[in-house]
Amino acid sequence: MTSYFSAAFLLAFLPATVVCYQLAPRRARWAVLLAASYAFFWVLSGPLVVFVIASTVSIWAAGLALDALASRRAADLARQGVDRRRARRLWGRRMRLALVVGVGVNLGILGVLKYAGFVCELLAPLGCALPPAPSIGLPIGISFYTLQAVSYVADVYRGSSRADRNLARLALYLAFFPQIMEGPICRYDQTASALWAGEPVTAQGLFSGGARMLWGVTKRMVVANRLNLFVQTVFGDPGSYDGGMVALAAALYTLQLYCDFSGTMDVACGMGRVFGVSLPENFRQPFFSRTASEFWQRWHITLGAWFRDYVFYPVSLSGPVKRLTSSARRGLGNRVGPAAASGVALLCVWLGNGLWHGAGTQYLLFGLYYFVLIWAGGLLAPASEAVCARMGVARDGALWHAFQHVRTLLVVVAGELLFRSSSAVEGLGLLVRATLGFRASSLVDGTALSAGMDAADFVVTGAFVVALLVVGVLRERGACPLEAVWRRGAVARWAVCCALIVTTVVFGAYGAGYVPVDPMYASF
Amino acid sequence: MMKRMTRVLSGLLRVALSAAATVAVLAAVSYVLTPKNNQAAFGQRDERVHGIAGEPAGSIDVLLMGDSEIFTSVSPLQLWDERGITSYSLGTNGQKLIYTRSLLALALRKQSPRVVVLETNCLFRPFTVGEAILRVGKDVLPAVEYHDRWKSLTVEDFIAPVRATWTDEGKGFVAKRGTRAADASGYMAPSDEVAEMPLLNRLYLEEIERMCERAGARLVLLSTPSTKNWNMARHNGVERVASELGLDYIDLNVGEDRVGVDWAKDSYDAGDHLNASGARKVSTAVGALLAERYGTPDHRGDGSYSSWAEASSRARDK
Repeated sequence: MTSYFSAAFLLAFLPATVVCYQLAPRRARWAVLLAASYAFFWVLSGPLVVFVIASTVSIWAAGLALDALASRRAADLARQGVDRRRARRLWGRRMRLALVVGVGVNLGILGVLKYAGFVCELLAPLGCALPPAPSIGLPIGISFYTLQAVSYVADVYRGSSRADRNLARLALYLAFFPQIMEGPICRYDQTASALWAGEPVTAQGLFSGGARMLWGVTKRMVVANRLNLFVQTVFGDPGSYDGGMVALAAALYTLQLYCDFSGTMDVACGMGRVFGVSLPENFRQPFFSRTASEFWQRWHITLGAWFRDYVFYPVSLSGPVKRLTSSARRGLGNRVGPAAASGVALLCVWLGNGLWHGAGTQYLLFGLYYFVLIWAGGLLAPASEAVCARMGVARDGALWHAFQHVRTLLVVVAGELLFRSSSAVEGLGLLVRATLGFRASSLVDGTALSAGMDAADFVVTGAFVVALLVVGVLRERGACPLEAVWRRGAVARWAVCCALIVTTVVFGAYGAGYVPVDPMYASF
Repeated sequence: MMKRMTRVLSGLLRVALSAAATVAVLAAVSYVLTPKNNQAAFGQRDERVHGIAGEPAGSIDVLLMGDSEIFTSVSPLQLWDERGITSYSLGTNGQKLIYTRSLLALALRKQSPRVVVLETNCLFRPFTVGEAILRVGKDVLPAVEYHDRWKSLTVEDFIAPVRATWTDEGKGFVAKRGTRAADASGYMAPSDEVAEMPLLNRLYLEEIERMCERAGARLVLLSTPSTKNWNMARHNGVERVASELGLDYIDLNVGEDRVGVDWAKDSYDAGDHLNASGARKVSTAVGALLAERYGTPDHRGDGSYSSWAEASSRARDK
């Protein structure tokens, strides 16, 4: 069992868990989920399970400490004759200390396990000798559950969540197996009580969850695995391919990453639905975006929301940045000034976002790329509007929208090219080759068919892209295809599930001749 | 209570009917995707071992199972030449017991062997539960194994019956030409260590043993000579399992059954596999063991086996 897509998981582990869950008394169902989650973690990461236990205990203790401090502060402030300002400052300092310890333990574990080697590598040329980084590997999903742990402590600190005295509930919130590998990154208030409730498995939940899972499996097996043939071939030896092939590989990698990650999210959300837990959505037709900023509100939504709530707002509302905003407003005006000052918070967000994806210079470059695009986009918005007005371009017209869609697609593909590279230097080199050195000849002279995928593979991929587009348009219009199918009765439900199974079995890229794609986000 | 029970039963019935209907659709798709003959040209995987399906029913007395150790070490045509034994080698590269079981099931559809020889190197090759499930899926629904054939389907695939008209001239044996001497300095050095077989392998071995028993065949474990793959720890491990399951175990690396392999001349790739010269020695020894210990019949001179003599003659002419 290596992922949600392995036969052992889909055909043995998950069905066994669902049966045990349903047979268990309602008040004990959380125990089935917790046992299954830790068993899953153990199978994938073995003894590294101690780190998720450590994170759980640390946020539990931090939550209790924050709760106790908040109670004592309230009691102190309620006393007669107390210096309220001094008391607020004193208790505020103590609570901040608890917050820093709670967050620090979790970010510390993540930092040491994931980034120590990278930092040593960066500092080595500067002559800074650091102790060697530990090489004990990364627990599965550490980047995801660490963010959940941090959000819990921060929410308790802010008072938007109550501290949970129930260690088992927190453990389940952090390690729930459908979300542990690749998210979505849930907030405590979104899932903890539903996980604990032990809702029974219903026919509708089983259908909608199962069909959603099948859709995810199909995306992953038919498209992501198939594109792996081409993507691995070109990115494995990019020096042997011209700009056209590199550009095509970047486009196919973008599609592959989407089908892999959103397919995994479909499986995760589907599993959640079977257990009566509604996990937050991570994708909302990202390729329909018209700006880079909008793209990130539709792609990996829970990560973007996490950085917004726990990095962007705190940095923006910090004293120094508020002062900077005020002086920028005075110097540059009410529109450009705040946009310029927001660069500080944006830079923190995008450096964090880049580094969250991995310890490598290409991820730093990826983060900076989006920082520049989004920050400059904000700064240049007035100028852009003025130019459009002068040229008579209708900014609500279909033509302008189409231009925005194409531009955003190109921006996203270029970003994924940097992201897929093995270093920042290689990424920049490939970007230059794919743009300045772009030649369409290799796309039409048969070269494209010599990099692992034949014409039939491209046809299947194209057909699936059309299917994705249709589903995307329906969703964009507010339709819920699965609910519509559910209402149409048993035969329609069976037909949909059967069609997805047959499509995956026949057109799936698995078995001899295929190398299944590694769960990409699980390693971040 | 009764109402709830009825609802649950009705739900289960619906799920069972849906699953059955889906399997029926997949079975129909499997029919289309299954190669219509047992040759690579028709899309057959592992053509050499699937030649067993083209052998006349009930004509094979010995099945030789395992990984590359068996198909490079024992030549069925030599067993025929020297002992009149009819055998077929079902060895494939890196074979795991999950596939051994599938190939055995395939062979037992038409054949009633007296002896099934299982080369022991594959007993130690691990596999996962997922691989085992996938293998069962491939056996039940060939669409899982041959799904990629949608790229090359013809009208024939939709209407023609599935046939097996071809068999391998070498009866599954592959002679390795060439020599790379092996370093045999630590080969079969005495040791009390006992190599443990993975639990799943043990379960599959027991299943293979039951299949042989049901088919009236004797399962024999055989270790062919290899300095790279075999050692005393593995010998001890297999010996223990064989004694626990009541199976015969023959180790050609050590003891009274040891074959005098010249590691300077008889190795193909530095002790991993035997070359043709090494295979000749092992085939002679295996033929003698089969005839003397298991009484495999000598079919030479029997007109109904003339194709064996012809195949042997053609092989000698090559």
